[in-house]
Amino acid sequence: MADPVLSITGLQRRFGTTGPVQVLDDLSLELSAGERVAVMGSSGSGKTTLLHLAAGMDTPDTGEVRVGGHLLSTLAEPERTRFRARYIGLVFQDFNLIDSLSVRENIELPLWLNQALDERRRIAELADELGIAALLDRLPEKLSGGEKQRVAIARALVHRPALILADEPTGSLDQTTAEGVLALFDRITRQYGVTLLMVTHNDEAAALCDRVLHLRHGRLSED
Amino acid sequence: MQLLLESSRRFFYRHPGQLLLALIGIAAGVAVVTGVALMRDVLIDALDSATESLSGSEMLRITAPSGPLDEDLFRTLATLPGAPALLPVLSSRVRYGNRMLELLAVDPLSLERSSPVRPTGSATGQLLTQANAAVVTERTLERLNVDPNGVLQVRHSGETLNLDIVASISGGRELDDRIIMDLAAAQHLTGRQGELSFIEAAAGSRAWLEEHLPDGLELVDAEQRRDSAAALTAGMRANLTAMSLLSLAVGLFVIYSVLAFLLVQRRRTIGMLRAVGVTQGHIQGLLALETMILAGLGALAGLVLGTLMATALLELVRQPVAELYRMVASAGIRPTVGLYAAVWIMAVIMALASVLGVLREAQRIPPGQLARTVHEGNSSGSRLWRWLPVLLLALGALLIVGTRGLAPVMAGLFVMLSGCALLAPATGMQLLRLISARGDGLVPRAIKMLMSSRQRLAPAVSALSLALALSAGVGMMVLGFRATVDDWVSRLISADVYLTVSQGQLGSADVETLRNWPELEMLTSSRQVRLDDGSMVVGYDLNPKAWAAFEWVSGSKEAARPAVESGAAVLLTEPMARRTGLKPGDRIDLATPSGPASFEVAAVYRDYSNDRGLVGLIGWRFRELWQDEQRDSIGLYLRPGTEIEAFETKILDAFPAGNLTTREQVREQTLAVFDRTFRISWALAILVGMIAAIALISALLALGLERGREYATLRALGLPRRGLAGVVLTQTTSLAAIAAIMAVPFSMLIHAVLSLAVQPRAFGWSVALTWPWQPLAVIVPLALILGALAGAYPAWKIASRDPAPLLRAS
Repeated sequence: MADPVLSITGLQRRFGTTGPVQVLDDLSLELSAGERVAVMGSSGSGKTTLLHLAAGMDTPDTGEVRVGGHLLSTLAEPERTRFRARYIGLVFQDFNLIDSLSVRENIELPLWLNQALDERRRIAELADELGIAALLDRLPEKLSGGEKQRVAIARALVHRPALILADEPTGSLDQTTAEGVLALFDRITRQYGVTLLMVTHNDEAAALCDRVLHLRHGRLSED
Repeated sequence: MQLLLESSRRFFYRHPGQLLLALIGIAAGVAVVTGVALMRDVLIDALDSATESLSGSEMLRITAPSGPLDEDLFRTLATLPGAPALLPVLSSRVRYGNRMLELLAVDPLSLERSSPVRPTGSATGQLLTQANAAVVTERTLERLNVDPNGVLQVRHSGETLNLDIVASISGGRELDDRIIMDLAAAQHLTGRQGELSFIEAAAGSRAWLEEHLPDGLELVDAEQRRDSAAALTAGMRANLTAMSLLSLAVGLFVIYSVLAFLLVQRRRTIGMLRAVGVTQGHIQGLLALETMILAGLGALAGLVLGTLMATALLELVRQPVAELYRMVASAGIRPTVGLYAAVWIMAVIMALASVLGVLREAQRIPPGQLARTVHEGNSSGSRLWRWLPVLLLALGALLIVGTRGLAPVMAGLFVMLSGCALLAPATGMQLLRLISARGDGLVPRAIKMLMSSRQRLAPAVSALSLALALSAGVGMMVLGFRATVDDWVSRLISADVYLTVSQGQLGSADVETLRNWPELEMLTSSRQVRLDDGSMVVGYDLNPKAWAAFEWVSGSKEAARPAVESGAAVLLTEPMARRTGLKPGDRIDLATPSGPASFEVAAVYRDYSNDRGLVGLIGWRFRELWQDEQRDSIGLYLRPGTEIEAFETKILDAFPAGNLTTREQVREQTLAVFDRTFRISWALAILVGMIAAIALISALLALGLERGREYATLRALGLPRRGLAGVVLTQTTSLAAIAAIMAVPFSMLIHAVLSLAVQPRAFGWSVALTWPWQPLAVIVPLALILGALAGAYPAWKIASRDPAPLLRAS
């Protein structure tokens, strides 16, 4: 059996120095290739912390995070950053597009960071797939929320990462727009065979995934 | 409003660094203005303050229009029935090391009778009975590092004088750097027996004096003397004022940058306050109040700093003022409440005006706006706004070219610099846009990211660009001017060596003796007297080589020489011609000891030795009119093959007190005076640069904060810390680079205006426009280093942050 794309074992994370809050407590999770998992939970339950740890942007107090078999805790910060650039795609609730760069340049960023600018043709392909081909030369401030999130999805996919981490991808969108974006997200992640870990409040978003987990008291449970 | 103020106070309490930056920015600008304003007043007061402190203010002064008064005049006047109290004064300049001091000789008994300043103890008796007795203030003793009751060794006309300090006196700072002696003793020591510089008389005695004064003497009141000092130093003071106002303008850029930065930080708070019902008016009122408090406190600190700085700046100008204007400026500044109040109010008003843009921006924050990022958009403003820099440049050029006075040219320069300040960020950003459009590397991407903050960064780019341009422009002018002076002095000094004597005087007999020496091919000699208005009359005895050394500005070279040698015509220097408006063919009237004399102006020649001007007439006519056979120096032209050492020995045998100065030494001395004169310009330019650096740092900190989320996103997407630091450093260095690039044409403009318009109008001389490259070669790398250094802290700070908390916060 192939190694899981994401393997999390015994993860613990506390915040604060006086009376620390245990956000994640002995949390374990595995995602195999192409699997799509949704993590649901109330506000402050540690969903975003889990994503940040999985992305190597935060380090656990104890426990292990492996992505594609690489143990993140053994990597120094610069290596972890390069690893993230290569293997992980991120979709944020607030889109986090760079306002001063055009849509094309935003999507191009991961290619630039991976020194893979000769793969630029993928931008046009993805833009076609996501219906944003006409927007490529615009600045993000000229786009609607739904268009921005489609650009963010394209940016997360363009370098063909092993793992996509999505943090409330529809959290900033109205219901109609959210439905459109989710349909697109569903199609494209299937089409590209993406391994996806998505944290969300949204039942419809969660319903797209193969598994839905709930984060309570720092642990995941499958209901 | 009370709650808003409390929120504001807590914000500043939590961000002391930003508070400090704002205070430093305004304090630095105000300090330079205050320092220069205080120093300017000292320059105006310099001529009079010392004598006033001895004889009282508002005194009338009896002077001769050119040259000294005869002491017999005092005796005659004093013995006439109904004569007012008169104070005879002899003023001489002496040198102590590199310092110029004024030797002020009076009658000690008169001092005891009438002066508010009195020597202590038995000093009056000692002054009267001891040959070399002198008194000075305690501060002067400290400044000169001389022991009380010690010996003060000074130089006068090349001779060493040993003065015994018998007492110190109390008195204001106006007596600093003055040595007070008995009149007769000073006359004897300086070889000016029977001479007086002027006689002071009570203001109420005008009618009596007008009735009894012989013809040809002048009665000058305190107001006229002050006007004269003001006119004498007008050029220098105007230049210093312009530089100080520019410092304040750059300081205001700091205020703008810091307040814009503070607004960015509180955008969320303001958005929330607006959402809960706080009105735009309240927000604007709060920000305006903050500005007033910040500017008020910063300006107060600036007043204190400026007062301290004034003394240091004064030290930089005292020697040039003494050398150029023969004025021993007082060592002390005289601050007034009026001056402080004026500078403080001006600073607060200008600070409020400078943050109008920030207030407008605050007004535009919609209720509920929680993002720090400002979308500046592509709005390029109205057509008028786009053309404003061009209009300002054109208006400035019109003021400079279309007017004749110094004030309009200064105003024109400021208007043009305002145009430059607007043009710099817009044009600079266009340049960056061109650079960012090429290539895929870190540099173009980093620059592209900078574009969206162009309006926020505009003040810093303007401030840095102006400061660099000012430094380089002043540097180019000074170097160009120095080259012109070097060329002039090298050309003018045609003799091989110049003879002066350290004791006694050279006279016509000495000239005749030297004329017969076989080693000498020919001679020149000159004698000069200073007129009350600071200009000079020089009696020249010139040979053909010396005539050929003149550089003519106007008039016929061939016609001028015979006309001058006939005694009917004179030469004018360029500053004299410009100040009086005279040209070849016009007539000039001179007040001479032999009565008024009228001459035709034969020609105008280039001269940089005196900005009040100089009238040159042929020696025999000068001696006839001034009844003065003495020479200040004799130029000696050696025959080829003459052994200089043997010749020197022979000269010293014949003139034991003789000094020989070679052509090269004269040149070096001239350039040394020049360099000392422009130290103040360099100092102010460096101060402006330092203030601009503060503006740049505050703008970069604002940029770092405003772009925090973007930087965190880049880190999340996989840009390493080093890469992010590279992005930030590229951005800061690019900003500095465009400021430097824009500074190049601006500095050339400043150089051209200073050389072609300001110098002629302030000092009367024209300066050849050359283009020294050295200042430009300094400012460009300096700006890049400054940009990198200014960006180092924000880069480190931004790159060392973990992206997760920033993303969470956003």
